[in-house]
Formats: sequence, C-alpha cells, structure tokens
Amino acid sequence: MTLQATRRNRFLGSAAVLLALFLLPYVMPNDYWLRIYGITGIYVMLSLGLNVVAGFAGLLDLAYVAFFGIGGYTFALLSSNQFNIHLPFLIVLPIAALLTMAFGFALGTTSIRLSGDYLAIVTLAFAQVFKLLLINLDRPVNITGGVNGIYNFDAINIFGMKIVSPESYAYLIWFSALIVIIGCFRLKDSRYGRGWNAIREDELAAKVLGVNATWMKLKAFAGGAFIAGGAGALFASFQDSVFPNNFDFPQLVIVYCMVILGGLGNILGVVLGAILLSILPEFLREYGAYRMMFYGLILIILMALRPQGLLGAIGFLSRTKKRPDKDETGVLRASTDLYYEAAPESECKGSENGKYCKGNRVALEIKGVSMSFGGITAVNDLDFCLFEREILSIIGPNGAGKSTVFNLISGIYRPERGSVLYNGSEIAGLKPHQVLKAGIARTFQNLRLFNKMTVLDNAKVAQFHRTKTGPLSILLHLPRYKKEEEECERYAREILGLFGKRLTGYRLEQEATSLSYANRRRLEMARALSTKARVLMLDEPSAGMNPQETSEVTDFIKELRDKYGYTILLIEHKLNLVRRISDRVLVLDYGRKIAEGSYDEVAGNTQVIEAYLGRKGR
Amino acid sequence: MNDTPVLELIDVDTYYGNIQVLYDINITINDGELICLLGGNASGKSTTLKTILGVCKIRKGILRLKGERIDGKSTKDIISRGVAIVPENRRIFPRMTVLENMEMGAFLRTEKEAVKKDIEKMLLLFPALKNRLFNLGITLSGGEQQMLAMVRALLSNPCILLMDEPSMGLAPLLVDQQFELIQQVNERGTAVFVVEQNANMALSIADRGYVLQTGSIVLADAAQNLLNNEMMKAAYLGGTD
Repeated sequence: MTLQATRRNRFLGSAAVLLALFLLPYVMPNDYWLRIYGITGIYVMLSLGLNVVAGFAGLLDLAYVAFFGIGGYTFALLSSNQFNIHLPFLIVLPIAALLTMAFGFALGTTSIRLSGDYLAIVTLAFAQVFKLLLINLDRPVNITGGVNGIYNFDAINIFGMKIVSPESYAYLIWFSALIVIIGCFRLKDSRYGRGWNAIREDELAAKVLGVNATWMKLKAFAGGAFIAGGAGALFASFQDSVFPNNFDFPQLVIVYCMVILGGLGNILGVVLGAILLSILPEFLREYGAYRMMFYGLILIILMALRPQGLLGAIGFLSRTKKRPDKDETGVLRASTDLYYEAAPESECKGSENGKYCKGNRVALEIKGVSMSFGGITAVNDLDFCLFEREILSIIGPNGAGKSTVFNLISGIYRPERGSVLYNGSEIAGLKPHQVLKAGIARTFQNLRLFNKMTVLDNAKVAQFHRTKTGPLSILLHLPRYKKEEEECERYAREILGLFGKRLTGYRLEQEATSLSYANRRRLEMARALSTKARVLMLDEPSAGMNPQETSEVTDFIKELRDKYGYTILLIEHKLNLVRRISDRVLVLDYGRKIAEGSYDEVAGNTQVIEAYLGRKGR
Repeated sequence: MNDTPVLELIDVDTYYGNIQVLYDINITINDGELICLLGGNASGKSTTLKTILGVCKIRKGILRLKGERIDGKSTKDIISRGVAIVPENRRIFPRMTVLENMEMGAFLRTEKEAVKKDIEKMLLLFPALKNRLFNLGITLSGGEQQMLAMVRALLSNPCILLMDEPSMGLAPLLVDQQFELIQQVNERGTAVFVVEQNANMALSIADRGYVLQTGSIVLADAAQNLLNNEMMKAAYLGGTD
C-alpha cells in the first residue's frame, strides 16, 4: 500500500469514527443506554491510562484505582456543598488531573525502584489505605462523607453550555476520550514510547543505551495517574456522587481485564477491550446472579483463544510459506547473509588526510579496580589504560573476569575499590545511562536486542539520551518534536546503512527477533553506534559467526577506528581477529592482568600459553 | 555394532508457525558413530536438534530412535528413551553443587544405586571434578563447567548425545579440550551428534558430516572427504582459526 493510500484510509477511518461518535447518542433507545454509552467512554479513558503504566512501561500498578478515586473526590470536594467550594469545571478538571499526577509522582518516587511483585504489593497497600481513608475521614471533621460518600455536585458549565442531560455528558466524555486516544498514539510513536518499550523488553540493555529507566517509569506512573485523575473527575460529575465503593479493588480488576483482553500496549485493542467489557455485562443482566459467572467464563475463553489479547498479532490469516531466504542456486554458502550485497564504499567522513590511528592521550583509565562476588574475586587490583582511537583487546580464559571489567566500566557494577577515569574525570559509581551519556557505549556477549521492536526502532531508541522533546511537544506535535524525530530517523538509517543492505530496505520494519544470528550481532553493534558515543566496548562481536562473517566483522571494526575515529575496547576469543586489528592486547586470568603488549609479545608469553592458548599455541 | 541405526531422520520437514524451516532432512547415525552437522547461521542446525528432541514437531517425515518411531512423542518421553543434550553455553545450574548438578542428569532414572556407581565411573573419567563435588556450579572454571555439562548429560545413560555448538564462546585452550572430551566420550561407545560452526575442528574428530544450508542438506560425506571437498574449502574452511 502506498503512503498516500495509507493516509487516505486513515483519514476515512477517523472520519467514520467521528461520525459514529456523533450519531450514536441519537440512536440509543433510551436514557439507560445513553448512560452506558457515557460510562463506556470513561472506561476507555481509564483503561488507556492504565495502558500507559502497565502496557507501555510494563509496571504492575495496583494503586491505579486509587488515582481514579483521588480525581473523583477532588472534583467532589471542589464543586459541591461539602465545603461550599464551587469552582467551575474547567478549573476543577485540570486541578484533579494534576493533583492526582502529583500523588502518582509521590507514590512513584518511593516505590518505583521496586520491581514486579514488590511494586504490586506497595501499590496495593496504597490503594487499600486510600479506601480506608475515604471510609473513615468523616470524623472528627467530615471530609469524605464516609461510606455515604458525597453527592449533589454543581452542574458542569462550559462557556455557558450546561452539561446536564445524558446526551451532553456523552459528548463531553467521548470528546475527552478522543483526546486521550490521540495523546496515547502520539506518546507511543515518540521517544517516550520507544523508551518505555525498551525498558519493558530489556531493562538493563535500555539503561546501557542511555534510557534513564527510573525516571521514565516514574513518568509513566505519573502519566497514568494524570489520565485516571481526569477520568475520575468526569466520572464523579457524571454519577453526581462518589462512594468509596466506586474506587475499590473489583473496579481495578475490571480495568485490568479490559487492558489485558484488548492486548497490553495495543491502543486500539485496549479501546476495544474497554468497550466490550462495558457493554457485555448489560447483555448478561437478565441472568441475575449468574451474570458474573458468565462474565468470568467469557473472559477465560477469550484469553485461552487469544492470550496476546484481541488485537495482538493476527497469525491465522497468513499462509504457509517458504523461508524468505531459501537458497535455490545450489552454490554452497556458509551464511544466508552472503546473498545480500556487502556495504557500499561509503564516504569517508571526519578524517581528512587518510586514516585515523592510535593517539597519545589516555581516554579511559582503570586504576586499582577490584570486584568480588560472594567471596570470589572476579577482578583483582586491575590497572590499564585505553588510549584515544586505540583498539585494545582483552583476552583470557572463560571466567577470567573480562565481562566483569565491561560491567564495571559501563556502570552495571560499582567497583569495590579503585577508580575508572574517562577523559580525566571519575565515572566509577555513575549509573549506566550516565556512563553512556559521558560517551561510552557497549554491546553484550549474548545479544540483548529489543526483540519485539523493529530494526529501525532499535537504532532510534539508542538516541534517547540525545533527544530532548518533552511530553507537551510530543502531545501537541510541536515543530521541535517533528524536527527531532526526523533527525533521529535520518541518523538511525545512516548507521544501519553502514552494514550494506543487511539491516536496511524491508528489514527496517522487521522485528529484531526475525533477523538471522549474524544480523542480530550487527544490529547490536549498530545500536551502540547510534548513541554517538566515542568509546565502544564490544563483547565478543564475532561469537557464533563463521570464518567469512568473522573476517567481515573484523574489517568493519577496523574501519570504525580507521575511518570514523572510534576508540575501541574489545573482548574476543577468536585470535585471528585479535591479531589483525589490535594495537595492544591485555590478557586476564583469575581477574588479574598476566600480560599486556602487542599481539606477538603477548602470544609468546609462557604464562599466556599455559593459561589460555594451549600447547599448540595457535 | 548392530545394524539398526541409533537415530534416523527420514524426509523430515519442520515449520515455525507458517514458515518452513527444514526441507527433506535425511540423517542417519549408527551405533558408536561421531557425526557432525555443519552449517552457517540460520541454516537450521538448532532446529534440527529441536526436532530430534520433539521441541519442534515435524510436519512430514519419520524420526526413529533405535528403530522405534519417536516423531510426535513428547520431549520428556524422547529424553527418557535415551537422548541427552549438552546445550549451547552449557547451562550449569549455578546455585546447585556439582554433585546435585550431576544428579539432575539422572533425574528420570529410578535405580539410585546404579546412578551412584555411574557417578563414580564418571569421576574416574573426569578426575578434575572429584575435588569439586560440593562446590556450587557457579564457582567452576570454564573447563570444569564443560566437563560437568558432559557428565550431567551422560548420567541419563543416553544411547545418543547431542551437542549444540560446543566451541561457542570458549577460549582456544578450552576448544581443544572440549573436542578431546567429545572424542573420549565417543570412544566409550556413546554415539555423538555434534552441531558446529567450527567446521575444521568438528570434521577433524568426526566419522561423517552433513552440511546444512537454508534448511536443506546439501552435502553428506565422510569427514575426511569433506575436509578435502573444494566447495567446502571455499565456503567454510577458508579461515583456519
């Protein structure tokens, strides 16, 4: 489908939805169904808000229903006779949303470092405390009205338009819901969306690529609370009353069901889930007490049939097919990658007269670094320097502490003793995203790609730390957002293009998981390059590659230094590669440096032969 | 050596979802043989192992272990009939002792006394593990881990041992050691099926080899012939590391 046709279809689709939303209130048989129409809109907003927290950022937030309640009660207190405060709706709505967001922030800062089950427990406790407060804050001063709640609110008045009838509510609610839907789409398709996606897929990899995971999770938490607060205010006004029971655990379960049924993270799916589960109980009403049983049964069946949610990837439509790279030529090749053209000679940038080579200034200095795990010393009093534009290889037996050195430099571990200096300033103790921001990127030995994200998005998310657009620019699509997105896309394509056609073309939109092994290795490198860091730490870049692929990667790494002036720290087992490109080689054994020098010096060292190379000394 | 092959794959097709990955695979492994399967990345090597283990169900063809059909059987069933695997990266249980790791290998066996005897026999074969029996798996060196992974697999008393890329991510010294171990195990009479990228190394110890390319077997011959095959030299054996 051409871009134009896609645009036209999208336009027609949006127009149809708008028309339907406009006409639906007229075709509702009675006020009862009009009210259900309105409630459905509120559920759509609620589940979309939850989708930001649970779907985008992957946080199990059980305080969500309390945020809904905070919004509801804020409206109730500021627009009723309870304290005789009668603020207009257009002021109360933002207050409710922002106040809820503040609560979200406060709860988030204390609990967001917890993960999984622990976050769930803390947030659940918050929700329970909130409900108990609602019930008990009618004495000594009546604030919440206790179990009787608060009722009889001021009618909403928007620029003289009174919102009283179910029709007018329906329009107001669905108008707000539309704004939330559009906002969610824009968030998802921005650096925020990509950042959350990356955190959910692989938090460690996201951090190492410069995504400030804690801060981003906090923002998801607060963003979800913002939407819940707004929805709460609308709900309170619509129901013209608030009770503690409106904001209790069963309500939370229903919203979670909507999100999961629709498909976590899938915006249209979540909307569909919210609509279905709001309407379904109405059709089951005549079965009385059995209603909830049917409801549960339908949910179980749906989830058994489509565990990834209603609008998860639709698989049954595609037909049986051959693998896309099936070879019919009969020529023996060691890799499917070799069908694709190698990298075209790209313009040499930066270096004016010929090639870059090793400089005299120290870029990275490791001084007396030690690290142990449960009494076992992994790295012992290690010293070494990495010069500017140098290729330094670290070799050594398995378990010698090579990967630990990378983890110590990249901020995953904090050294127990010693210091790590980058351009003269201390980076030991910095968080992984801060180390990256300082200019040091890395790859992982056993590939930590964001598998469910496209090749292009993998390269884009690595630019997170350099992009700055905030939520407002994203939601309003301000020019600076567009400019930054374009720049981000251009650079991602440029970097992916360094690998010839292997990561570009139709592959740009493929999920990382569908790439061949060698291509995934290349993407791991491309991702590190996209960060624009000047120091690259490559952890076994050729592991699992055959001789031809290995030799290609070797040339590529050399080119990164010669042509583009990168400084490279390398862990490798394949000595051919090490010999061909290293300026110097460092040998580790049991966490200690046993040799350092040129390849030939090191390869002739008896200690090295004994510990690493073996008798054959290949 | 008797006449029924230990493991036979006849005209096997395997799919991932709707995409066909293996095409008409024919592999025969006789008693006591050491066979290697070579191929580049994404050629279907690991899928072949998964197919043998019943993790991927075959859609066409026959899979026979000691003459009995095992296609369609569950993984647990296939393992209990005598297939053992040393997975990629060895996958030692890090928080269990060496002895416990070994016992996990004999998980499906009921005769405890026989298992004890077998462990003693293994310790004779791999004396380096003897002093490490009560250390945690995580504390082992790379070479020791390798031995443990082999012992663990062998303790299920397999009639065939599958090895997934044994040389991956290993220091050169350990690569040599690994292949020596494989040879030792094979000399004791266990049939071994090695899946490798390191064609030189694998062919130097194997009896026969198969070469897989985009899901089809394109070459099958005695290891010595493959080492001298011009096409092989061009595609695989070029690098001598």
